Amino acid sequence: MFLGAALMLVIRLAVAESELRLDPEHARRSPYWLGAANLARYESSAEELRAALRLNPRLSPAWIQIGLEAETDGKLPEAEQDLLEAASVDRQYLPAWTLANFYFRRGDADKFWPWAERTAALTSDDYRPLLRLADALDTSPQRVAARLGGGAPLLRAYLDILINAHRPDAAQEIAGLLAARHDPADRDRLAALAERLK
Amino acid sequence: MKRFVLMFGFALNLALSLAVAAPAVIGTVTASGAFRLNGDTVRSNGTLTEGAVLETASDHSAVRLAGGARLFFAPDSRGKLFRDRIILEKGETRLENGIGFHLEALGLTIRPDGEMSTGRIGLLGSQGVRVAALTGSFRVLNERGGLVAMVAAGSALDFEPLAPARAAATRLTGILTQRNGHFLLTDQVTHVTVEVTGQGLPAHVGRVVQVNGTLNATATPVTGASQVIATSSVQTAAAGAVGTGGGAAAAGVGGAATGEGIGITTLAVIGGVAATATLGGLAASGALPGASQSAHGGVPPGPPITPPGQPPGRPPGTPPVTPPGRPPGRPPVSPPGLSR
Repeated sequence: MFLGAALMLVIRLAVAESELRLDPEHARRSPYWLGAANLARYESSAEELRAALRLNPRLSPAWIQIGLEAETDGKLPEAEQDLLEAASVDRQYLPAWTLANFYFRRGDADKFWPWAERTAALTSDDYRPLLRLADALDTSPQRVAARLGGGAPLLRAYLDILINAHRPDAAQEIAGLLAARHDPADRDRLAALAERLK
Repeated sequence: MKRFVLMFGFALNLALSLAVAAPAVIGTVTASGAFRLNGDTVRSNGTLTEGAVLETASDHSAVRLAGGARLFFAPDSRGKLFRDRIILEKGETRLENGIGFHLEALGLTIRPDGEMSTGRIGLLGSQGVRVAALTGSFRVLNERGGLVAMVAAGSALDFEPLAPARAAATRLTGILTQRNGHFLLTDQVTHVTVEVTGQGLPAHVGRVVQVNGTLNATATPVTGASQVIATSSVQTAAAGAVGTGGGAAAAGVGGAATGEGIGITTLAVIGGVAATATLGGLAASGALPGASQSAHGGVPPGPPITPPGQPPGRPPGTPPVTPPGRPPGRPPVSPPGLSR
């Protein structure tokens, strides 16, 4: 039964992947893709997911799902291996983000930072979830910003977090980095911060 | 036992991580799509810290807490999460394996009565709470910690906290019994047993009665009862009137709740809370806001907004550049280098 379910999962994911390669925009709305992704995340048991992975080891959502399940069960080496496997077959955002979170939960800063850096490099809009993790593991905002690439969008997000957290000293550090970029787009943001610090 | 050991291991691991991580990590959240965590948009999964605010949009989210409790948020739901409780602010959640864990909503506390208790709890507008027990039972307590109801497996009750001025008003219906000179009544809606005091009670022993009165907070109830009710009136209930959504409730004694989400007829009032049996029982509880029709009890998985592997806001990218991965059991890959 597991094999049948796994085969179904693999087929659906294969169809979805083909659609993705042929027409990414269309694939986003594909019922095959949605259903397949969904199967790999929720409805399948760990046994079904593992069976599916034996047939197609490139199912990163399945690796992530069983990795998180293993973590919940306290099987940390197994969880880490599953999540690293996801990252090895999928160099995109989600496995890196998941691993950064995993090492954050473990309090393993040494392993957290490389994955946090990769996550930052693959993030295109909302840096705040990653910044909150990183900020909790390093007391120096400047160091956090530098390790995560220090791009303008990241600095802006970080500045907003620090202002909302009522950490003016830290905010000033990041504001200094932002000001050094001389980007007119930041003028109002920096002026508002200066006003608050008066 | 195995489950306990695993949960203990998860809790221990998270506790050890706290020694070096600043915020108190309490668990993880996963979703089929995007969710909001402390106001930030997060895809797929994230880390929960003490006091985290989780909000779902069109997708469901599953929460695993270090203590072993599991929560399944329905779409359009929001809650504030702590190690030992959740404050439900919007929508609906399913609670599993919640021993030692409880849910708070509108000042009520909903507590699993055992390890096997699984239930769905949802807000009905801004004034009501629905509790549906799928397996095991749930205790519902008011703001003062007083027992308001025992929701049995397979049943669902709606609750509406009343104005403070009516906190002592009580109306219960059940068979009046006598034990060692004390009169007891177990309400047929809330399954709460109270001791009843007042005039004319012996004449009603053995009958289904509707008791109206007030809570005597200073009296100590006899063993087996949770509180003492001083009666102002006792009426013999019409046969078949109890638990049907009509009959006894229509008497309107004790103050019927008329707020949003609670039916016009109120079957029980106790501890400042109006309780109504959900017509149709558990099957009807699927009408909770945000609840989907599914075998998962209203919180089934839903299709993700974007394909997995995509960062927020990114279009679907190219397939992985690496060759097919290894089968399970292979050594892990190295983390990425520090330089890019």
